[in-house]
Amino acid sequence: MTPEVVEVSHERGVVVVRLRGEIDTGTVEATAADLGRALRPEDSAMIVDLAEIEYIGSAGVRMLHELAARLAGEGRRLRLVTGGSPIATRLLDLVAMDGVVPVDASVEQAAAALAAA
Amino acid sequence: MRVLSGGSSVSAFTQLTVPRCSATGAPGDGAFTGSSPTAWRSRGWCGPPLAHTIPTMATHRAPAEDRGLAGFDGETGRLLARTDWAATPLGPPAQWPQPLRTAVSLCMASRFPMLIAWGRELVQIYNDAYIPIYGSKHPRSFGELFAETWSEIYDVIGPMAHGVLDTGQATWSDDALLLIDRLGFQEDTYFTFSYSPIFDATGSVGGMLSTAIETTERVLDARRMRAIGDLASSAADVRSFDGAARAGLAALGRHPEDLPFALVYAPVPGGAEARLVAATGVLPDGPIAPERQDFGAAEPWPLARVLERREAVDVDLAGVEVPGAPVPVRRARLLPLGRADGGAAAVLVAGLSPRRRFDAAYSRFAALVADNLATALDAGRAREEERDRAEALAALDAAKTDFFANVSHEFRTPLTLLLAPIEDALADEQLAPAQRERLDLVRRNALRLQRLVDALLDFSRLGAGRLEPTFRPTDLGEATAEIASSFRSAIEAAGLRLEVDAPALGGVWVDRDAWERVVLNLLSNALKHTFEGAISVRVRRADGSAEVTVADTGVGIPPEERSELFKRFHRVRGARSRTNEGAGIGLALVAEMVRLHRGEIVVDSTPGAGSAFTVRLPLGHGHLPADRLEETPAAPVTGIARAFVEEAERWSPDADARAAGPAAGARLLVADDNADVRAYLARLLGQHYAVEAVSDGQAALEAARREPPDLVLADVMMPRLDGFGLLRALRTDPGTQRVPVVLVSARAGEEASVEGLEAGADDYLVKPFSSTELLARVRANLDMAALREEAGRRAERHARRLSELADASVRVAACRAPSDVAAVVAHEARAIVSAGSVVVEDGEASAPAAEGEVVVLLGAGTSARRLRAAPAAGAVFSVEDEALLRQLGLVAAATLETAQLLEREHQTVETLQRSLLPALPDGPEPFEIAGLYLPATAGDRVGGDWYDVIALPDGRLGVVVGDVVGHGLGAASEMGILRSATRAYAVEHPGAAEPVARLSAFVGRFGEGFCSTMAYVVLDPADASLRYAIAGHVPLLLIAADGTTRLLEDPHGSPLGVRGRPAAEGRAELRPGDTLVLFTDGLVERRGESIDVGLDTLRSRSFAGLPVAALLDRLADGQTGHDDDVAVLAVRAVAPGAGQLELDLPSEPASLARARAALRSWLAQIGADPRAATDVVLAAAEALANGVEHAGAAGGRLRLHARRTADRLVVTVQDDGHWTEPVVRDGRGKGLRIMRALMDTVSIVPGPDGTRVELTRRLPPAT
Repeated sequence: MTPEVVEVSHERGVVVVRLRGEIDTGTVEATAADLGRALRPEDSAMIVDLAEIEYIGSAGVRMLHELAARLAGEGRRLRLVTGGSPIATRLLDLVAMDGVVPVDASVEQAAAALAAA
Repeated sequence: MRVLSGGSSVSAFTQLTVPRCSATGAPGDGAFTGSSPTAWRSRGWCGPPLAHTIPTMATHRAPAEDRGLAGFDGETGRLLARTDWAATPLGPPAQWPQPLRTAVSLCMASRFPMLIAWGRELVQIYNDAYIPIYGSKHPRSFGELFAETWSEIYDVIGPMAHGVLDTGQATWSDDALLLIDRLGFQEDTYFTFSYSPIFDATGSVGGMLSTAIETTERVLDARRMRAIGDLASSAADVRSFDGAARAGLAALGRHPEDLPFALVYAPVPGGAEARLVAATGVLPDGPIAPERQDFGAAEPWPLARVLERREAVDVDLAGVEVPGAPVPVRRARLLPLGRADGGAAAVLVAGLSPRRRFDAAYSRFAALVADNLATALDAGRAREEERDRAEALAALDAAKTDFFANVSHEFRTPLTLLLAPIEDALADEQLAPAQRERLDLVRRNALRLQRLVDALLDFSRLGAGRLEPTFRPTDLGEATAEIASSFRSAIEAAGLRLEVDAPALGGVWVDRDAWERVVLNLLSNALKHTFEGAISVRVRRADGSAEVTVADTGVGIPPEERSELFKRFHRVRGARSRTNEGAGIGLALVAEMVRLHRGEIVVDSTPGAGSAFTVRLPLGHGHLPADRLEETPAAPVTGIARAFVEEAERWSPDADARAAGPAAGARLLVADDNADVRAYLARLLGQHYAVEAVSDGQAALEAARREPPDLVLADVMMPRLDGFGLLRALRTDPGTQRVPVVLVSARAGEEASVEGLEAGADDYLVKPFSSTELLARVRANLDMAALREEAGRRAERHARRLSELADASVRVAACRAPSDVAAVVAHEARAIVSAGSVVVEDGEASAPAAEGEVVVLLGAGTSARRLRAAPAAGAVFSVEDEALLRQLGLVAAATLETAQLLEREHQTVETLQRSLLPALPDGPEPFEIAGLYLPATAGDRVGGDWYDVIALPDGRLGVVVGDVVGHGLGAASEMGILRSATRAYAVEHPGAAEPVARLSAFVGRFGEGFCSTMAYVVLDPADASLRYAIAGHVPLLLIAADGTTRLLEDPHGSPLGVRGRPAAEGRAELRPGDTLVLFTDGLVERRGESIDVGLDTLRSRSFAGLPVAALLDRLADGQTGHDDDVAVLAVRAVAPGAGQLELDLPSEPASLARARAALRSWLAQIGADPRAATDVVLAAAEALANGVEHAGAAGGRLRLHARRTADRLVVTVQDDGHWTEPVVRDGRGKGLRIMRALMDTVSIVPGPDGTRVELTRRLPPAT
């Protein structure tokens, strides 16, 4: 199943991208491109919502690492949301993603965290 | 395991195993008849091979394609093929009857010791497991005649074997003792074995089948434990070292098969010799048991070496004939007895049985014997020392009593004779000065007598070397005359004359005090034994000596007494005397004093005419120690003046306080009707004791009952209640019966005192008595009472502790598990000796006993556990504490040994049982199978439950569960036989009922496994059919895919071998997802509960959706602590393809999502645990992604294979590229790490055609 960007929303300088489908070696480049396109110059932060993701593997983890590095270089912040996706929760937990990028349970929590900072 | 109702399993077995064989037994019913070998070879064993992947389980011997005589494994298998059978009565194998061939197949395939003896000649064929029983007879025995091989025991087993051939009836021997020569000597061995008939095609007995288990080790263990137990109990009541040795060896003498003879030698004091303390098995004083042996000699026994090096030494003997033993003893082991700290040291010489190898177990036994014996000897010696001490104490006490009595009398004589008139005279105020002077003289004499007692004290000082004389130049004539004159009035009062002839004699150096005693004692002695005539004192100079002779005209001294005369406490027997009183020390003291002056004393006597004592003192002072010389003559202070001074000292409070000693402070009750006497006694005794004085016996009794005093001193003659009445009243009242009573009477004479003592008085005083005598008697009686009191308390305490020990021993002996023994003995020991700490340690790491600790070995050898007790802080263990600890240790050691034995047996049987259960094929289809065996937790009830899975032709599966009567090794052995037979029949017959019927017939004929139950099921995945036959077994449980349950219990046949209803075939279906559960009664049977209750409980559980392994766990819920073993087997049908997933995709990124989707859907279909499914998808996806990334040439393939086994998921990903070394950089190489984190095992196997990754993930157990 090709991954797709379900929804992109911008609010007060924060872009929220909701992803669906599967992210693997074959699809990771398209996903990375979609995420890059969703980002506007005025956005100071990005939230990637993986709650509806059906699969994400090490290729996806690599992509998120690269995204985090790029945004950090531009002075922008990134937060991830795993929500109810068992596979995303398990994987990000396994690779200790929250040591690199903050991981939240919901978009609301991520937004609140960004607003509070 | 099952036990037949109505009796023990063994008796049920022996009663019922006689097979019902008769001429009517149709050949078709025979166990080994029926289809030809080719038939069952072609049909058997050709199903899918069983996978044997559980490494801990032994794999079955794979059936060879050609099972002729050449197809069997092992040493006997090769022998079977090599033996030239044509040369034996059996003839060439091709001509062997079918039953023999079948029996041989069964025998060779069995891992139980089995022997076939065929034909009237009983030609032997046996399997590898039987080899140890033949020992060195093997391999000659293979194919040999039974009678040849077993010539030495043929008288026993020959008739048994022929009995089987003749009658067709099986025999059974439990732990039979057989003397077998397999190691080069005749050896005691024990076997449990059975001989069963093998019927030939005509229904007559063709040969016999013997299954045997060697039980030598177990029987020996038990036998030796009995010997140790006997030995330990022999130590219970030992009273001496020798007694302990004799009792111990007497106990060992009852076990000549363990130690044919035994001797105990102990070194005699001085160490040059050793004496034979006890012997058993050989006559004492024979060549190997001399009554005395040079301790250091090497022969016959190197005793010194054993004791000094504290090591065991073995001695080879020329062959000692032991009465009652058929074979000479050729070896003895010498062991040191007694503790290394030099306790009771002795050597045990233990004759070793010529019928046993002296192996580690035998050596341990010998060490255990020595250990027990040493403990007993220690206890014996301790008792001996205790008794010696008690006796010495008693003797001392008697001497002390005598001493007090004699001292009292020494006082009494002068005081009676002199003091009364003095008091009378001095009371007269009209006394003239001259009279007063004479009275002074009398008084001085009284005091001189008083000094006799001082002499006693001096005497003891002299003995201790503490008397320090001072020698001064003295005119011996003058001094002697003066002393003699002081005795004049006493001598003249006795009607005798005193003749003094003492001219001046200077230049003699004497200690004035000592000399005075010499003369006084000689005069006193003369006066005592002279009734008429004169006593003369003569002083002379002769040959450089001064010579003083005191002679009398008395009774004289018999010649035989003269040499004893100067010995301490010697009194001439029967000598007529003025008085019988006297300490018997006067002359001894004289001799000591003379010796002090380096002089000599001789006696010359004529019985009836008189005696003359002559003292010779050397002149001058050259013979005397210079430091004790004093040039100035003795002060002119006479002995008389000094006597006054000393008398004053005697009567000083200080001196009396010494006399009162440790009993001071006691409460005394004095009863006398004379007010003056009462006042006198109160005053005298009041200086040392609290005194209550009353005026008659009744008042005394009331006072004593109110508050029991420490001593009652009562006059005999009193109003209201006299002294005897008071005594009787006090003795009948428990509150006062132990109060010592001293009666005082004016009545003189022996009769009165006897009367008083017979009435139960502790002592009896006759008036008048001296104050010192009174004080001495009172104190002696107080001391005695205190001693009695203390002895009573100790006896009571001792008795209490012994009963505590008995209770503790019972509690220790009740333990069954070694760990319990350790815990309980530590607890009990702590309680009994109030120790600070008691621990039981393993021997290996044990430190030696520290100061004050007691360490008791619990068993033999260096690895034996130890009981280590340390006293509480600041306390020490008494000898009694230590004895109690050792006693408790003995009990613990015996119990521990038994417990270890039980545990070992339990483990042995359990191991055996487990080894007999099959490895299960690990599925996944068409059947997924899981088995569970739970051994009984109680000691000896393991064994007999079994199950088996048999791959049958055409993909069918045979499943069996069974339960053999009885338990232990016997049951396990029968179970092995049944299993082998079942396999054979199962392959032969397609249905379920026929194999069971065959097996039942087999059991009926051979007896093995009689009355066992079983259920046999044949499953055919092709049509989902389930065919079953039940022989006396509990129902089968069928669990449908949706969790609903059903019992398969009809039709129901009789147990195996029992004639009754044969097991008929029942039919059911096992559809994919359904699970069949076979189990033994242990799962559903509870004491006091109907089996239906157990079945209902089982069915009430929820089984829906559980994987097979989890289902098994749920079935076994609550099976901890069961007292029977439990076997459960669950078989689930799995739809073709449902058990696994196979994908073959092009190696390209687009395949990844397809593979993941297929895997996800397969996992959902098999109902895998969701968490495990997530992990498997993540890990497999990484493996797949890597396969794509590292794909080789275009057009490569990516293969995924997934399957579920009973307890895990296995996923294999095969690509055709090469797995590169993972590089961990910016998240690259994370794939492998992710897989490892998610899976239980990850293996990456690179190959020439690509890389294979295998992932396994364990499924969670049922919740």
